[in-house]
Amino acid sequence: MNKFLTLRGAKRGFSYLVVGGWSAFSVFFILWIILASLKRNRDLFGKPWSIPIDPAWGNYVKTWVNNRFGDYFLNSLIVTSVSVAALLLVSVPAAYVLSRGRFAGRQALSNFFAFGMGVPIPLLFVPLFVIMTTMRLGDSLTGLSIVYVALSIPFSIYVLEGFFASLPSELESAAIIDGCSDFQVFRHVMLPLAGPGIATVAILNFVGLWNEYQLSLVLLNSPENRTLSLGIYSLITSMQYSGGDWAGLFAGVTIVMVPTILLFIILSERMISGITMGGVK
Amino acid sequence: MTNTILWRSAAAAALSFGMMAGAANAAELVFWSMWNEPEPQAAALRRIMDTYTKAHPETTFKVVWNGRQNQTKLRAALQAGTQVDFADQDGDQLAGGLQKEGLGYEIGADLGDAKAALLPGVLDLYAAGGKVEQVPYIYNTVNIWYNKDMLAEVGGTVPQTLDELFTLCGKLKETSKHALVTEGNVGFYQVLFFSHLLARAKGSDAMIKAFEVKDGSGWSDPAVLEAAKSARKFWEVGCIAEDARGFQYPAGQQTIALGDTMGELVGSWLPTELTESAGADFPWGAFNFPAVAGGVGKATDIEVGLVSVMVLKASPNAKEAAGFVSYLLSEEAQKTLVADGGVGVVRDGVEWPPVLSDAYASAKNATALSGFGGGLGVSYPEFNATVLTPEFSKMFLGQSTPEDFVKVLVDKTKDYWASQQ
Repeated sequence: MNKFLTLRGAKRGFSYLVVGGWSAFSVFFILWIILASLKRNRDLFGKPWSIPIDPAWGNYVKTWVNNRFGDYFLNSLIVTSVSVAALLLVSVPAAYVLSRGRFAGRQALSNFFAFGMGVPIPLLFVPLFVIMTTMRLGDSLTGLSIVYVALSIPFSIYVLEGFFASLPSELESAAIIDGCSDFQVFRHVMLPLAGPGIATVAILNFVGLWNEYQLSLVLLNSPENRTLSLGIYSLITSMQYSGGDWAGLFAGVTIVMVPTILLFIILSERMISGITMGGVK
Repeated sequence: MTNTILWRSAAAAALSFGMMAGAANAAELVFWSMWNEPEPQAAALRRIMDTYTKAHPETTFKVVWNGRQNQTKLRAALQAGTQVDFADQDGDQLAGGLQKEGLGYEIGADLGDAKAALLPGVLDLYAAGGKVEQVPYIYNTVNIWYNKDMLAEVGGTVPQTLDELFTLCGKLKETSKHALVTEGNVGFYQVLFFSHLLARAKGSDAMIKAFEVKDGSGWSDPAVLEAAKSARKFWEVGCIAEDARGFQYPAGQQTIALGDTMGELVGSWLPTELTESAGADFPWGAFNFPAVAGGVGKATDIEVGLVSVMVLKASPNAKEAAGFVSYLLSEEAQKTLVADGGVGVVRDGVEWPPVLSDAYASAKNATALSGFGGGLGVSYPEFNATVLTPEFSKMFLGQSTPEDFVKVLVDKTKDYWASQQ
């Protein structure tokens, strides 16, 4: 018995060590990036581990104004928020029907969506560019949002199907006996129950789209339409030939990180319960 | 009275005809650029375009400031049928990209007198079979960029030979400093050691000549192994600090700004890249990679990284775009690039910014030009990127021997040509 408890304690200790180590590693680098963003370039490389005594807040001003990160931030916020909202509007009902409905071809349709997750994005560059240009949606945030929604649907439906499948069917039956229509069952019973799952899908998509680079690189050209990830990349590449403002780059990286970190802080509880929900019936 | 009416009618007709003709010639040139809008080079180009439009009101410009991913975006856009009249990019990249794909407009005949006014070799560097499809307008030389004060502090002089350079390394090492640095993760910077050593031994086209021997034996020349060994010697004699193996860009070059290292073998963009860290008054100097004992290559043979503009073959306004490109090479436009963009330019006689004065002398006195890394990246970009650069990097950083490196080059070159048949 004692031997069993010792083994269990050792396992738990090891788990804490791994998770704690990983967390410490992540927090350390996030803090380092934030501190680096407040240094002057010379100190950044000369004293990489020092704490900035006289913080260079000007790095943020320069990045936000001169490098147009203010515009890019707004573009990213609009594209990502609109895309995630539209995505949920499409994916949640679709996933519900696919998980609960009984109709011919349901499995084939589910498989079709799952197949969509395996399509390599670079293969779609040229066709997407042609389609968007033909529809006069090239180089526009609207066009990019449509592409984001379309390409995020397979993953979202796949995940949400699992959540809906894990909800007890008795609740659905009870609602129907009480006189609810199919839509009312979905709207008033299943949707609130699927809240944690929907939050999880929303966060995962928000983070993914917030950091998305490849598609926006191909589909957007005008500097005024750039998203933050393109802004960061243009800042990195302009280091060659035009001067290396590395502290400004770290300020830009911090600006990119902040919304996703805030989102995790606000919604982490719901997300964790959403992830664990499917595991315990 | 009748005469007056007739005269007025004729004048009105002539005027409207003129307007119609003007309208017919009016062109909005679409320019996709590798610069980002806030960069000084973009500001200089904008000013040049504005000046051109003032002189040629029928020509206006629509610019898309794409940044360095310009060519990548351009490929997708061209495939989708988007109209782009001209674009700019690093010459090496254009040569291996749009030019190789046959998308460039042959502009040689449109340049007229401008050709004769350029620094030696500039226009020929990327000309394939005598056809000029890209026109360089910004000039970067590859030299050893160094801190003049640090050289003076050890009583050193600019080394003329490789042995003198190694002696200088020893002097700096005695003061706990290092002569040179490199970036551990930038293979194409490291390859510069090999390409220069081989060029000094066998001539500026040695790299391409060696590769074009289809059974791979071009690399079996003892000079190739010697060049590889000499590159390793930079570490062995302490020219480069041991910890530079682990430097990730830009950690290496920052050691110059911090006063730990004297210089780096790199392009003339280094002073600009380090302006923020080193300060505007940093005592920059540049000298060519020194000569090698018994070598046939001259120390005045240089490697360059030129930024070029290309008019696209599919452009409906190719002639008008070519007209602007000619203007871009004019003294007026080139001076604007120097003053507003802070860059070196291709026109002979237009002085570069003071910090680049050594690079200007290097370009003006160049006896032969080759692209970055001996020009292999221009002519054979795939082999350069997938074999030569990574294999050299492995050898240079001590993960393989010079003999292994040469053997891989021989074998892979043979494979490459076999796969082309």
